[in-house]
Formats: sequence, C-alpha cells, structure tokens
Amino acid sequence: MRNDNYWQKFQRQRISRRRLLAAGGVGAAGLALVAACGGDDEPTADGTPEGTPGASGAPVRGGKWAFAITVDWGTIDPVTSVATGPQIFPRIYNTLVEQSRVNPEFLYADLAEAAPEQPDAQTFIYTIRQGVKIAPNALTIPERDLDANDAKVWLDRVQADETAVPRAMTNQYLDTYEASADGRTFTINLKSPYSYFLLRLGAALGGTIPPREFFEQNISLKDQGVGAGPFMIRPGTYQETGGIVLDRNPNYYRKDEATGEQLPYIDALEAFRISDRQARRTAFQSKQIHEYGAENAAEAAQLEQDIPGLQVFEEPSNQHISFTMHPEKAPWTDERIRRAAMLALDRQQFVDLIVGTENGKIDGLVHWQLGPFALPEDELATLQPYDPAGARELIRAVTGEDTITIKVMYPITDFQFHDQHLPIWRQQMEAAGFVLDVEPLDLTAWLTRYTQLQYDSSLSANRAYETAEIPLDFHAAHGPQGDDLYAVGLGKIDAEVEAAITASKQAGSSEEHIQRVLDAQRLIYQKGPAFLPIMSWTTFDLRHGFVKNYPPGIGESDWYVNDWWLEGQPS
Amino acid sequence: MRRYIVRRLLQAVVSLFVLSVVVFLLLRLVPDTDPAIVRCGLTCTDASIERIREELGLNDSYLVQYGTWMRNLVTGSLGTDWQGGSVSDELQRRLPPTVELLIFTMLVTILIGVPFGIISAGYRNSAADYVARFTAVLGLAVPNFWLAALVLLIPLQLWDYSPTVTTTVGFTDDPWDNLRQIVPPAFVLGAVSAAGVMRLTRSSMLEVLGQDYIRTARSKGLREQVVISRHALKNSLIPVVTILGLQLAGLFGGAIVIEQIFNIEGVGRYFLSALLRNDYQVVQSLTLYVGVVVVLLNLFVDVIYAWLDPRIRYS
Repeated sequence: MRNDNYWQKFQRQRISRRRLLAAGGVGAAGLALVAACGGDDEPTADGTPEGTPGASGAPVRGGKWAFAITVDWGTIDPVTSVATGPQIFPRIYNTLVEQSRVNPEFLYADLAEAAPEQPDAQTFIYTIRQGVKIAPNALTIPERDLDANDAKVWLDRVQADETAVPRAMTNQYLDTYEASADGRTFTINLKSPYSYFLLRLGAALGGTIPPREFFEQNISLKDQGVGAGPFMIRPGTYQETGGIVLDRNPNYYRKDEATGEQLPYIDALEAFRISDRQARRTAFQSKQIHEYGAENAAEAAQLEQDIPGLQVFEEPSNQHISFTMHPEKAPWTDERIRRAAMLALDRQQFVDLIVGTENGKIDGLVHWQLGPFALPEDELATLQPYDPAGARELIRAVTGEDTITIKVMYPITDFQFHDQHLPIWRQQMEAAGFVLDVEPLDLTAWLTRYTQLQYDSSLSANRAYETAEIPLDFHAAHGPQGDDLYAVGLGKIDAEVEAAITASKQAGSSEEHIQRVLDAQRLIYQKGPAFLPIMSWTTFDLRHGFVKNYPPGIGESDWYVNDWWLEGQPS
Repeated sequence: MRRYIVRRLLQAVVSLFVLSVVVFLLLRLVPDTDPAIVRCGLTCTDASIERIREELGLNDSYLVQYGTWMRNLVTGSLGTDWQGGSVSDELQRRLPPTVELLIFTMLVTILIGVPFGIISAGYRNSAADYVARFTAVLGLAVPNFWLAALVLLIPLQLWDYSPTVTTTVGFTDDPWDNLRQIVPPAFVLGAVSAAGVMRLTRSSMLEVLGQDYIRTARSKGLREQVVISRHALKNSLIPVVTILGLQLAGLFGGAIVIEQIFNIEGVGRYFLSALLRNDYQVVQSLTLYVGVVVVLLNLFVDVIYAWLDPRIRYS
C-alpha cells in the first residue's frame, strides 16, 4: 500500500529494477528471473516481492542456511560495525522501515507498520507495530515488545557515540526526535529536507535498533546481542575472526502472508569466515555453503554447467575502482592537471578488456546503475572524453614540459578486478604524460592511509554506492561521511561545488532531485573532478537449487526478507 | 653431552636475543602504518587513536618498549592482539591444528621422501630411479598454492568430494572429519618438502653405498636389502635429519599460505592477519615463538646425530 508522500513520488520516478536490467543488457538468466517476478511493479503489503524464483509447492520448514563472510567481524555492535556485521543485523534486530537501494519500490516495514507519514518535507511520523517481541535470551533483556522508546534510546546512543555509523547523517540533518507516551508513535524532525533520509535510516549499516536495555544498562553489544528479529544468536558461537550461528526466534512477529505460517521457515543460519576465494568456491560446490559470488560471468557459467539446478542472479556490483586525487595537494590543486588525468582515461578500454560490454559500462561521476541520476552516455562522451593528446597539452601548459611526475598509492588486493585495472590504468596514464611514482601497499595499510587522507593520489577500491549521495559526497568538502575521511572533494576549495552538492540532497520533488544531481555533476566536470570512477559491472550471485523463493533484485534488502526456504537440502 | 646441551642453550639465548632485537626494530621501521590506527578501526577518532597509542606504549622510546616486551615475555604474557584478546589464549586455540598439520606434513615428507630416495639410489639409473627423480623435480618446481588448488578442485570435479573448508574441526571433536581436513593440506606441504628429502636421501645413500664398509658387507654375502637397511640407511640419514629440522621452520611459512587456502584457523593465519595489520605485539611475539621452536629443533637434531652415528662425540 502506498502513501502519497514525497518518498512514494520519488520511488515512482526512479527507474525500476526491471527497466534497469533491461537497459543494462543483462544476460538471459537475469531476464528470466526478472520475468519470473511477474509484470506487476507493486510490492505486496508487507513489502515482499511476489513470485520470486525457485519456489515450488508449499514452503518447507527446517534446515540451516550456510554462507561465507570474507573478512573479520571486528564487532557485532549494530551501531558501530562497518565490516561484516550488517549482513546479520537485519536477521537479529529490527529497523523502522527499510528501502531497497537497488529497487526503491521495495519497502520493508518492520518495527514501523508502514512508510512514515510526512506532514511536511522535514517531519517523519512512524507508527510502531505491536507485537514485535524480543527473542528469548540469557542477557537479562526481557521478552517484551519493542516500542518507540527503543528507537529513541537508539538515536540517543547514536548522538552520544562518536563512532556510531549513522552520525554522518544525524550530525548534519537530525533536529529532534521523540517517542509518544504510549510508545506507539515515533517522530523525527530534520533541520532541512534530506532526500536520502529513508534510505539511510533503515539501512542494515547502522540502521537496526537493539532493545533499549543495552544502552540504559550499558551492556556491551561488541560480541553479543538480542533483538526482535527473525533469528537470535546461539550463545557461544560468535568468534571475532570466525563465524556465528543464529537460531530461529520463536517470538518473531511476522507471518507469511501467503500461508499464514510464522516466519522464518529455516531453523538456523550459520556464517563461516572464508577469506580465500578458492576455498569459498570449494565450499559452495560441495554444498558446505549455499551462496557464492562468482568472480565473473565465465565462472558463473562454468558453475552453472557443473552444478545442476544452480540459480544465477545477476545484480549491479557493489564495488568499483576509481582514481582519487587530493585537491589540496600539488599538483592536483591545479584543475588542469586533474582534467589531464580525466582525459587520460579510456574507460571503454577497461570495459572491453576486463568485463566486456555485456557485463559492464563506463561510469560518470554517478554510476550508470543509478539510472536517471547518471548523466547520459552521449553527454559523458563530451564531458569526459578520452583525449591523451589533450592531456599532454594541459600538462605542458602547467609544467612547460611533456610530462609530470605524480605520487600514487594503490592496494595490493584481490578486490574484484583491481589487479586488472592496474596495468591498463598505468599504461593509459603514462601514455598521456604522467610519470608514476607508485607506492603499492597491502590492503590494510592502504585503507588506513586512504581513510586518513594520507595520500597525494590513489587508484582506489571503492564500494559502488546505490544512491547518488555518496558518489557526489566524494566531491564535497568533508568527504563521503562528512567527517573528512576517505576523501576531500572540490567542495573544499570551491564553494559553488559545495553548494550544488548540498542542494542536490535537499530537493522538494523527485524531478527536482534528479535535476539537481545532474546539475551538480555538470558543475563538477566544469571545475575538474578529483574523484574519477572508471567503470561498473554486474556481479553473479549463485545459490543452490534447494534454496527456494529467495528474493532477487532488491540488493541487500534480501537480508530482511525471511519467507524463503530450503527444500531437499543435502544433509 | 650435558655440557654440550647447556652450551647450545646458552648460544640459543644469544641467537634469540638478536632475533628479538631485529624483529622489534624491523617492525617499527616499516613506514606509514600506525598499528594504533589499524587497531582503532575506520570510524575512530584522534582521541581514541592517542589512547590506544598510550595503551600499547607506542609513545615510549624504543628502549622502553623493548624492555616492556621482554618483561612481559618473562612473566608469560604475550600481550593483547588487535581484537583486544589475549595473544596467549589465541595461540592456545590455534596451535593444535597447526601442530597437527606440521606433524602430518613431516610424516608425509618422511614416508614419501626417504623410501623413494632409497629406492632411487638402490636402483640407480633404472626406470624407477628416473621416475622418482622426475617426480622430485616436479615436486620442487610446483608452487604449493597451485598444488593446493588442484588438491581441492580435482576431487571436487571428479567425485564431488571436498574436505571441510568452512570451519576447523578439532581431532577430539570428530577424528575422522579432522583427518579429512588436515591430511590434504599436509599432503600439499609435504609433497614439496618430500621432493627435497628424496633427492638428498638418494645422493647421501649413493655416497654411503660407495664406502668400503658397504663393500665389505656385500662381500660377506649379505643380501642387498640387509646391506641397505642395516648398514647404509642409518649413516645416510644424517644430512636428511639436518634438512628435516630446517624444513620444519620453512613449513611454518608454508602453513601461512596453506591454512589460508584450506581455511584452517591455525597460527599461520593468525600471523598473516597480524602482519597485515602491522600488529607489533602479535608479530614480534609469534616470530620469537617460532624462533624458539627452530632453535630447540636444531638442538634436538644435533643430539640425534649421536644416535645415528656413534662416531660423533660432543665435547
């Protein structure tokens, strides 16, 4: 059910996932899966996508879902975790309302009954769902219903903790928040309109709400926790460098609309820490884990041949490589040198040599997956042309010589396709007159320096952001988190750029929002961008045939959905 | 003998002191990466970085830091790691699979390397000799990470079989599953070192077989099998034992890679994680720990010489 508020209008204007897939030229498997979703773009009342693939007959109860995590947890405190934790937080805790970044039409109303009421652009009123009951636990947290006070205390903690993930958003935009006396209503007021509010507040990354007792009684969430989500942590199974087991929460409130049965269907989830790709693939092929991200289309096709009944889901990648320049450090202070770096890049060559035109496209400042928020290809061809001769001319104009030496760091990593970008990028830069003083670093050292801005320039491994906000924030004065980490953008040295980026987040309508995002990009191109995404590709999520009804096409929102099951799982 | 052992132990103390100083300084001379920042995580603040630096003693002089480390070692404390847990506890948890892996690796090395070396020498220039030598060269040439990938992939493709790679199974928890998990990586590590041992056994055996006392034994009419097993084998093993002792230290290095590929939660993977985080406390303590093991093993090997060859006397 849709409310006629800004967010719903915004969603309708966004390109749908299906149209996006078609435009992106995805393979037959992806299209077949999309077709299986049915022709109706409407989500069901509880937000669950209809007609998801692999489902046959009645749901089956039981079984254990096994999956791999690739890096250490660090912590499983949902307020501060930035690593692997978000993969399990939606399974343990609850969010108010979650919106898919991949398909904004998909709304998952969890602790709130529905999308918030919006009397004006800055006020969000959530009606809290009743019966969202905390799981049994040995942590002295009572098995009671969550209410608006839990949301309030959670935001108190966010405000008080300098390391809280949502602070990048709350610092800038959050004004007041209050719970009603009966705990049924939670109201948030923003300082100004903020176009990405719903996406940010409900995200698995920092947006799930633990019971208030944790904060009121100062109980650590670093290596334990309990919520009212579909699963609960099996005591003693969490290992910081290992895995975790989650058991079904018998108190979980949600029922399958189709069958009326309590969710989730599966009994347990188990995460295994497997950092090596070969070991992950082996674990997947031997059915020790049930989900695997193939490295590329060829690997997906090979596994599809080897494993009968394999389900292949093609999704936009959540990572990409970019060239990052520090605009406060010479020679990148000069917009002509930044522009020369932009002209040096033949992005189409990266696409052709690494993933092929079937699986990737060149990027502008905002990624092509974001549909109307990305500049059209013909305009990009004008704004960021491949012109090595032009780059040399710009270098000559600045230095009086044909070449310029730049210091650049990069990570040594198996981060997808980084190693394949590196030689192409080096060759192109050198062909345009850049003499590279390179500094290869291990991933941890690189990430530390990247985070702390200890670089002149970097061939960087980045996440591809599923909204236009963060790609543009890489050009803002205080970087993508608003805290001077990762990058400082042109906004630091150009007030006009900063104002355009800020305006792009505070649009009154969806049309205006799109227009402002496009205008901000055009302005940044005029000024010489300091952060250059190169290309983006699609990834291949593989699941065994015994996984039924798993929701495709909603990105990380699938972590919230629990109406899928395992049928005929090998023991 | 006792005096010899005491003297070697004293020499070992000097060696370990030099090792500790080198490791301590090398870690701190690596530019750019502050372990406090890595420990702090990506969302930390300047104040929390400074607090961690204080806690780790990184603001102290090198001399004070070294002294603190030594004092802690003497009292049995290896400090805390980047997760905030005790290094000793983590070692206790991770040591069994690594020790088991190394024991099985040595078994593979000895059971393949020594017999094939003997056969190769005993049947010199025969087809068996050529096959053994070719296999040994192949074993030395093949990188163990590649062999590891094959050991995982081939059974999977042919028989849909794979060892457990999702979690580390303890021997006491499930002996059969544990062996299924440990034997394949032990084979990978052992195959490479067995190749070296096979070649050394062969050349050593050939040298011994040319000695006068072997000719005497043969002229007495002893069967070739008895000549080799009773008279030649023991003497030819002295260089083999030496190389086995040295290989154990090298195998620990190999275990870092193999534990990663087979997803075994052992000391090697812990060491790698610590190294990538520039975690001084863990890396320097583990390096010294491995140093102690190597020194003691070499001493053990030297003592074994006397058993293998009674002509060897220690003074």
